[in-house]
Amino acid sequence: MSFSKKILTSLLPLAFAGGALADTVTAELEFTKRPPFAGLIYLVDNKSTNSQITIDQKDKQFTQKLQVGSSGQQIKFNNSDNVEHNIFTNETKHSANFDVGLMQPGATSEVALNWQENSIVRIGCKIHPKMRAYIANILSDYYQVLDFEKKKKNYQIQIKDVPSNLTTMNLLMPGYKSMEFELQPGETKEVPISKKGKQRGTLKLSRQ
Amino acid sequence: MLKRIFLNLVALIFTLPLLVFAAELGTPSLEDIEYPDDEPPTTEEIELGKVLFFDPRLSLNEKQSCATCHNPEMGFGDGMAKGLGTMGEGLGRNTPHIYNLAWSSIFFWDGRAQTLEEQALGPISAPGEMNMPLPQLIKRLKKIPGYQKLFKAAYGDSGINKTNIARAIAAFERSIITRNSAFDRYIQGDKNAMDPAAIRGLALFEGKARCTKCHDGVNFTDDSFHNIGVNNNDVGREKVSKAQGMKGAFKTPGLRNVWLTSPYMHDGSEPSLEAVIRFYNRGSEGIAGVSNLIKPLNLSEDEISDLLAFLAALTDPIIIERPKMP
Repeated sequence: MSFSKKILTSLLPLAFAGGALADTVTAELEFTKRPPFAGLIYLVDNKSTNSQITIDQKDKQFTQKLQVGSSGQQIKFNNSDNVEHNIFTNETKHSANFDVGLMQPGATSEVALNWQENSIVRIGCKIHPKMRAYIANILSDYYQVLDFEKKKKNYQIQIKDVPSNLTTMNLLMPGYKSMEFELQPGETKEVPISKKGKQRGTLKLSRQ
Repeated sequence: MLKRIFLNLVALIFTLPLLVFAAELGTPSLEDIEYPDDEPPTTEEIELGKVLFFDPRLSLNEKQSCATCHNPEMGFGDGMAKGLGTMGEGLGRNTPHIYNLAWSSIFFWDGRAQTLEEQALGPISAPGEMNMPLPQLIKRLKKIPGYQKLFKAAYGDSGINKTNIARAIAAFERSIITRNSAFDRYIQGDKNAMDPAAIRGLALFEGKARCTKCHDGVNFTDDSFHNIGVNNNDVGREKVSKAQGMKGAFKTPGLRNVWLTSPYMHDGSEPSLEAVIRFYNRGSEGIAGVSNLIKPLNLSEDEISDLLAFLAALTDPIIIERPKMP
């Protein structure tokens, strides 16, 4: 086999593998008003390698604002605080309803993640109503949790190693309707962010 | 000497896990208010809410307004141990004050309302309180030309309906803000703003008296529920939350303007702040279900006096001119 033929043979599989090449999605999310508590942006897929979610409580707060899991997983709750807590959710619109009961300091408890996919549900504490966090149920490894701050309106997003065949994206934020949109490889687009009919921001996306 | 340091360190290590996190005391920031849909209310909305708040026609027999029980001249309370309904019947609990509810995350003594809008409609329609069915109230308000104009100014063509009544009253309630007490001036750097007794009282409040275990944060409340050992048959939060350990637990009231809001406790059983401090000083021992945060304090008479001076330093009265009824 000649040298040039050898090179061609080596490059051919690479060319055919183009459909599975990885992209990077970058985005800029800008709000016109105060951003929501947290959010999640992801590419819709049909599998996830998420392991068990562990949610902890300390200083009368959940230690993370939003965590990501998928149907069938167990959610483990820890109480690392020195006061009692009682985590619950009752988001019937997403078929989410559990109450782990009173958790003494140091206690743990588990519930199954069994509510509607592609949704986020709020969890709270019956004793400390200011406590809040969200759990997302998605089937994807290509996501970014958005940890918003009250006074910051502009956020940069980057999701790496996205398979080129995944083109549907979803943005989930409390108080906002789920926003689904398409983003093809090489595409650049701008998506308005609306809440109750009023524009509250813009998501500028590009994919390379 | 080294042995003493070592013993102190050991004591500190064993004490640390027992400390309960307390949010820092301070002055509430207007930027921290979470308005519905992130929109601050308009002037027209607040003005309409104020008129509704003071209007006795919101009760069935037109004798009682929201302000009858939440009287601004009485610290937005009624001065009674337990409230009275418009038909004259006694209510089960003390009328809570409504200062700085803009920062609150849950409402009523038992937390049965999640929003101020939900709370606003509760006493109006409750048979034991203002006793006014909401459809009847809407019909009544629609007949009043002045209200037609006020609702139009606040909400345009959506006009007089249940949602807008709730939004307007809640908007007015959110505007009842106190954040310029002697304490606020003191922590902003004016060291003469509080007298020495109040300064000593502040140290006790955060320390020996354990007040910030529950009365923490900028509004002196953790917005949470505790059974403090007021011994009566009211199950409180348990009935609403169906949660274990919540029997006899009630929401921690904020302490801004607490000097004006007597009597105290969810049942109005303590007539004065001095009585309240003496109640906590005893520690509620022997009462079933009491929070483990409640312990005997061993406060001296001087310390009780200093705590009272500090609580007085949280006073910042709000003067509200009563509106003309349409």
